[in-house]
This record gives sequence, structure tokens and C-alpha cells, in this order.
Amino acid sequence: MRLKLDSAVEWAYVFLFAVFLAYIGMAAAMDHRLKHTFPYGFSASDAFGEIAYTEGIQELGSYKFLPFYLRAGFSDTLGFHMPISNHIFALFSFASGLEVWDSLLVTGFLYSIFAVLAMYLLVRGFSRSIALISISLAVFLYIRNFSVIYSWGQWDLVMATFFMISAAWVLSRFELKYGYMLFAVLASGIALTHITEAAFLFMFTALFFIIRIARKKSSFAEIKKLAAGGVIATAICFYYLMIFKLGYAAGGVDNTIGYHAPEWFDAALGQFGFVQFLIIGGLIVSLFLLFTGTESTALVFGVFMLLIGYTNFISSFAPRAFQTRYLWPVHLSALIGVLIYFLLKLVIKEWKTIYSILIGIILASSITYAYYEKNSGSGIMDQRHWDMLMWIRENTPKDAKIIYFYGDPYSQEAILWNQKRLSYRVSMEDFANAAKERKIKREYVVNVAAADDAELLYRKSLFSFGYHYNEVNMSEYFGKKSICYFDYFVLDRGGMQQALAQYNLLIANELVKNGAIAVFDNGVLVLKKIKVDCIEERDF
Amino acid sequence: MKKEIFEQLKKELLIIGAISIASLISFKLIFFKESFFAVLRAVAAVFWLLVLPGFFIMLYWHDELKLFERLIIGIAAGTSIIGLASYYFGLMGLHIKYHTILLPSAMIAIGIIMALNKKKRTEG
Repeated sequence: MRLKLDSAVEWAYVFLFAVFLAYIGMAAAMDHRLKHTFPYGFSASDAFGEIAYTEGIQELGSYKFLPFYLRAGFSDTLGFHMPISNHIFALFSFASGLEVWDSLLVTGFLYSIFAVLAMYLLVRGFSRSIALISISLAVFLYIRNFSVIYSWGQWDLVMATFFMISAAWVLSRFELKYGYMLFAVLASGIALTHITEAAFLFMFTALFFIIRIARKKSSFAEIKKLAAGGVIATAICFYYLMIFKLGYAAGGVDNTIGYHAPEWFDAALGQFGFVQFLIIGGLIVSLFLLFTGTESTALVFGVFMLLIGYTNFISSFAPRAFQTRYLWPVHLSALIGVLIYFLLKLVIKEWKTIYSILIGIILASSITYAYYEKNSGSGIMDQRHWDMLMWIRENTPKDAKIIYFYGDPYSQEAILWNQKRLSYRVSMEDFANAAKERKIKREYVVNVAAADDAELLYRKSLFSFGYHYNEVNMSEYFGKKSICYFDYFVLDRGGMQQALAQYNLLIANELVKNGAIAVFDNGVLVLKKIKVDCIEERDF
Repeated sequence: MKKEIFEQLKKELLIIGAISIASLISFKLIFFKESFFAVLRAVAAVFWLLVLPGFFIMLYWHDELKLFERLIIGIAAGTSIIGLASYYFGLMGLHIKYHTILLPSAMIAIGIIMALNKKKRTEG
């Protein structure tokens, strides 16, 4: 009975802690609303790209091909990015009735909480008392800089992290009947969600079994099961891995050694504030325990992920190492728990579950009080610009070509993919120079707003692939171009740079003089070209 | 034999039901600016799509793993299987709009069949 009560108290605390995380993370970022009339809380191009990719899957029915408006007008390019997260976002949007942008935030944040729960299980396998203390570190997930990944759209990383921790847990219970099948399913999921985590899992699995072999805990049968799991996972992932090899990986891997320093928004150990000392102390205790024969997958995993975060010394690993650090509040949790528990065990001989919960509450409250700032705000999108994008989506022909002049949100390219038309942006350098020279020009330097990753990979036949990027004249898409080539012109009436907004209006007037008509205006002006000869060059 | 599995399933589904009600209340509290029905549908989607398929798949290990272990790891396994299946069925031409109903239903059915088969084999 005592055991059952302990268990009920434990899981009630874990549940309430998860709700607390949902409150300070998801609900705060979404301003305590599930539905928004435009993508709320999005702060980077990638995040808007995720909306476009997910809506593309909903629209085309699959991730076989990417929509033409994402790929410079080509409708036969293959879905090159890892597909699982976008499929889940699309399905969740259908099931919940939420717009894709709201579904992305809800699922993105939920998976971060699921990752915390999976890590809790992993640490619990070593000690429940330690797990209840460790979980508190997760508060940092929603504290800057760790929290930027949610508004920057790195939800696939979060989802893959959850899978990876779950796979590590399965490794710790590898004696399960058909446990290797479960491991294979999770490993496949990781590879098709965020492949970097699959590489980390591969390394961790190798380390895990090296330790087991060194301690004479592993058997040949176990290795055989692991190999079977690997074969199954490879078979499941084969089709996508082929696309990956031809796409993302076509450029090869840079393994040179070179230091890459964290930049402004990267996460570093110092951002844990006073808790960094607990982590360092926990690292020392963990290494001591591991080297003296203690068996704990959670401790091995914690130490391993700390080291992975420092692989920024290998060139191609650097961005991945920095990405990993955003999830350190989950990965490293065992380290703080183990330190606090073993220190207090020196004075408290008979440990009770409630002590761990109380310490966990004190730690979580202290971290929240000291470092948490409500991260709310609409991000880089606003209702006016979103209305304009939706107007274009719903009122222009599918093959319309759109050109964007100066406007603050347009610096984030993927925003424009959401109007679902082939679009270009005027280079702001060229635009500002023309304004300085007091010239209204017919030709400006323009760039197509498209995802040109994987060199626009497409399939020529069953076993033959091509790259549009290498086969067409890309100067069509990047370089000087007459603005009369476009069907619609988008010009903001205001913005952070008033001089450029004024220049926008001069161009708009000139276009109207030459027959263009205003078809939409809410402070963001959309003009439709009527005459082929759409503008006259002049000085002003 | 079947009865035993279904008895355990009944007990566990009651606990999951209680968790879903607690989740609904929590969601409504933290999303206090949202309507009840929007919250209800979102929570139902979480359980239908993310929680239940994995829980049923993990039922196979009902005699080896505890409920909360199956529930949490099940979310990962379920998401992974649904994501993979959705991707490949999409490539084969089945439009994603059908996956929301088909895939979780199929996984729930497969999970129950797998658990029953395991029990049969163990006893056989």
C-alpha cells in the first residue's frame, strides 16, 4: 500500500510539473490561446518554412514532391528534408482543427515535455529519488537562449530528441522480448525526423555496448539482436536515406578540426547560471560512479550528451553541437540530480520520496524566479502582412509571379512561401543604393524566394536523378531583372526604415502612372501590372 | 486468457481516461483565453494521435513494463510509427487527409492483436 501511495504521489508530481512546463513554455508563448489568426510567436524564416512544408503535404497529399512555390517554380522536386515531423504536424492540424502554425507550436512544445518525461524514465531506471530532483532542470528549456528553438522552428530537433532519449531507455531494457524491434522503430523515427540525432544515437549505442562488453555484461545474443535492429531500421529508412544521400549529403562532410565559437543566440553552459556549478559537480560525481562500476544508462547518456555539445571543434559538427545544447536542460538533468542526492545522502541516511519532491520544487522555483522571463509576443509576423499574403494566395492566378520591395518581414525569406506563389525579393543592397542615387529603375537585383537546398533534386527515371539547380540558368532566379517581368508588386507603405518605405511609394506612384492598379491596400500595397511596359526610368 | 488482457486494459484505460480529464482541465486552465470546445478538440487530438496508438502498440509488453513506462515510450514509438506510415502511405498515393483516422485505428487494432497473440503463445 505504501508503495502504491509513493507511486501515486510521484506521478502526480510529475504530471503537475509537466503542466507547469506547459504553462511557462507553450501557453506563455501562445498568449494562452490555442487559435491565432496569423502565425503567432514565430521569429525566424525556418519557422515559416515549416508552415509551408506542412501545408504543402496537406495540399499535395504526401511528401513525395514539394510544391512549386517552394522550389523556384519546379513542381517535380523531391521532398528532401526529413519528413516525419511535418507529417505529424499535418495530421495534428487535421485532428485538432487548429491551423498548421498553431499545431506546430502545440506539438513542438508537447514533444519537449515528452522528452522531459522520457528522460525522467531513464533517470528513474537508476534512481527514482534522483529522477525527481533531476527533472527540475527542464525549466531552462523555456529560458533564453535555450528557448529560441521554439520560435525559430526547430521542432523536428525537439521531436528527434524525444525519440533518442526513448531509444536510450529501450537500450537500458534491451532484455525485453523483441526490444530490438522497438529500438529499430525509434531509430528509424529519429533518422527520418532529424538525422543528426540518429548519428548521436549510433555513437551512444556503440559506447553503451562497449561499456557492457568491458564489464562482461553483454552476450553474443544481445549483439545479434542489436544487429537485427540495425538491419530493420536501415530497411525502414532506405528510401529516404537514398534521397538524403543524393540531396543534403551530396556535398560531402567537412571533418576538419577547427574551433567554432558560440554566437549570440547559441546556448552555453554559462547560461545555466548558478546551476552550471551543479552540472559540473554532477559530471565529476557521475564519472566517479561510472568508473567505479555503477551501472546507469542515464549517467552515461548525460555525460555523452555534454561531450556532444562540445563537438563544435569538428567543423561539420559545429552547428549540430550548438543545436544539441538547446536540449541540454533535458540531457544533463541526471547530472544535477546525482550530485544533490549524493551530497544530501551524506547527512540524511533514510531517504524518502517526499524529500526529492521538495528539493525538486525548491530547485524549479529558484530557477524560475532567478532566470525565467515570460517569452511572449507575436514575433515577426503581424495581421496586416498575413492578410496580404492570404489575399495573394486566394485572389491571384496560380502562375502569378510576385515581386516584393522593401518591407520588414520580407528579410525572412520563408514567410513569402506562405502565399503559395512564385515570388522574388528585391535585393535590399541594390534597392538602398538606387534610393541613395535618387533613381527609379526598371531593373533591380532580385532573388527568388525559394528553398534551393539539395540543388532542387528531382527524379528523371526510377534510378536516375537530376538537379535543376545545375541544369538551368540560375541567373534567371538571381540577378538583375526587369520588374515588368512580374505580375504583382508588393510595396509596404511603412517600416523600420522610413527612407526605404518612401522610396517604395515613389515606385508605386510610377507603376500606377503606367497603368498598374491597386488591388489590395491595408498599409501593405499590392499592385497588379496591366501594361507590359510597366515603369519608366527616371531620376527624382 | 483474453479476459485477463481485457481486464488489465479496462483498468489501464480508466487511468488513461483520468489522465485525459486531468489534461483537459490543465489545458483549459493554461489556455484560459480559449474556448472550451477548442481545448477539448486539441486534447482529444493529442490522445487520439499521440498517446493511444503508442499505448496499444506497447500493450505487447504489458507483462514486462509498467503502465507509465509503456505510456511514455509508447508516445515515442507511436509517433514514430505513425510518422513513418504516413510518409510511406503518402508516397504510395494514399492522401494524408485519410491518415488521421486510418493510422491510429490500425495501430490500436494491431496493438490489441499483438498482445492477444503473445498471450496465446506464452500459454501455448
